[in-house]
Amino acid sequence: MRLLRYLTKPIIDSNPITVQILGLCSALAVSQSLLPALIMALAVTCVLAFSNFSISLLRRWMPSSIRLILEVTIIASAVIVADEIIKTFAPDISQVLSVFVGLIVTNCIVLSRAESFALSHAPGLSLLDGLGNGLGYSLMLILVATVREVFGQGTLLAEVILPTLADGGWYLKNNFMALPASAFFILGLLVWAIRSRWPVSASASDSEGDSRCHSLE
Amino acid sequence: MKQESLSRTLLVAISVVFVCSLLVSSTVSLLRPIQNARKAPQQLRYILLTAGLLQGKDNIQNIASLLEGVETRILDLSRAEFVSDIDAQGYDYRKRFGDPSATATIDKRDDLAQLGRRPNYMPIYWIHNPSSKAKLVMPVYGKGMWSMIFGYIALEQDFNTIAGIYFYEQAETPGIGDRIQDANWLAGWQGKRLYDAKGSLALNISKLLTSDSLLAAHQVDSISGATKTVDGVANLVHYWLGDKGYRPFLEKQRIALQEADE
Repeated sequence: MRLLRYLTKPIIDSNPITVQILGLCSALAVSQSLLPALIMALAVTCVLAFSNFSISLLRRWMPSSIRLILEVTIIASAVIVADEIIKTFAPDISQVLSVFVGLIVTNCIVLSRAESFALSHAPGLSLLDGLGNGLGYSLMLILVATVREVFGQGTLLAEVILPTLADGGWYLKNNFMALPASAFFILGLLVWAIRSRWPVSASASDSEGDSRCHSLE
Repeated sequence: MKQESLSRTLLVAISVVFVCSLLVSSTVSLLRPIQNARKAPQQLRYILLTAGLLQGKDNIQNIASLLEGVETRILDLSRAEFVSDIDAQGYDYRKRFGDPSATATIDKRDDLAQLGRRPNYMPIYWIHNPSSKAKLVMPVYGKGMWSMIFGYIALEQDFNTIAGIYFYEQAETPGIGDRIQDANWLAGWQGKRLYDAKGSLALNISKLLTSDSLLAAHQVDSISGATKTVDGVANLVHYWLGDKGYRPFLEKQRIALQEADE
């Protein structure tokens, strides 16, 4: 059960987006509709889990002078593999996501988990932490994308939810939701809602988690 | 070895980079063939578009399944017969333009489309899709006002009725002549007939539309302000569907069809 905390804690308590305010760039860019957001979320989760795990495996071997370069090399390789897989099996969605899959390399969440967690924890725990943070990112991306697709296009996963005026329905599309800036407002509201429901300070929860991990090692 | 020593640093760096590059290159070489197979060549897309098979469902899986119903044959224009000794999939008629042995001079009087020379062989695409109105798609090209216009024309089962036409490459006046690519204007070609009852090539593009239904069956609306481009389009259609173009081949097909009916 205690191990599971590593997986579940980053989903709400120390969510990378709402608590640590990381990885916003892609959260704004690819949340226009749900399907690309799902693929993006999956890609980030896989990359995070893989990079956390392999960096943790190598943590005792990596000379600190080239530590960052090696981490970025591993992350970049994982991202290229993810990008190629998306290009192969979901070419249409790959066009929508365009450069943002490649930009997972520069997603702060990935490097921050490598630096702040994987370097000081065992591979198994790092894998759980990577998965947890990926799921936390996914949750926020999915929530934002759902709101944006429903109110921006009247659909969800291309299924009609609100019949739009253009198609003879009653709903006037909210064009603002089609713009990346709308994600800012939705995220802001989400951060507000989540923090008032679960008022945990990020730094406090992190140090608590760290002490627990050391005892496990 | 100390963790910070030079040899240790080099060793770790090289091995990490080696493993990562192995990972990336094996993924790419494993997936590239699948990607290429799924990436339908652009020309085949245009052919499907001309045949009217690509409306609103233009995704790659769909294209791959549609392409299974497309058969490419190589037509010898002067003999009006298919040849089998040329690889149909790899044949690109536009690569033959500069090759004197693969092209023939067009007589000045016949050269409506201002081509000068034409390839000896042209690809013809049979559409075997049962739900498709279009039966075969043929490449057409010719001089517009400023540029060579390249496109495809699709005919129905009777080898006379136009099922669709599409121009995929042109450099006509932006906003005026380039309206030959406008979907609404192109849709006006559908159902028009090339040849009249007497067998002459009656299709024309006109500024004044007639109310006579016999004539209207051959008449396509012109584009205001783009007279020269539209003339070019009319000329290239007349050249390619005329006696020096695909017409002898179409005649043979029509006769074969009639015999099959009897």
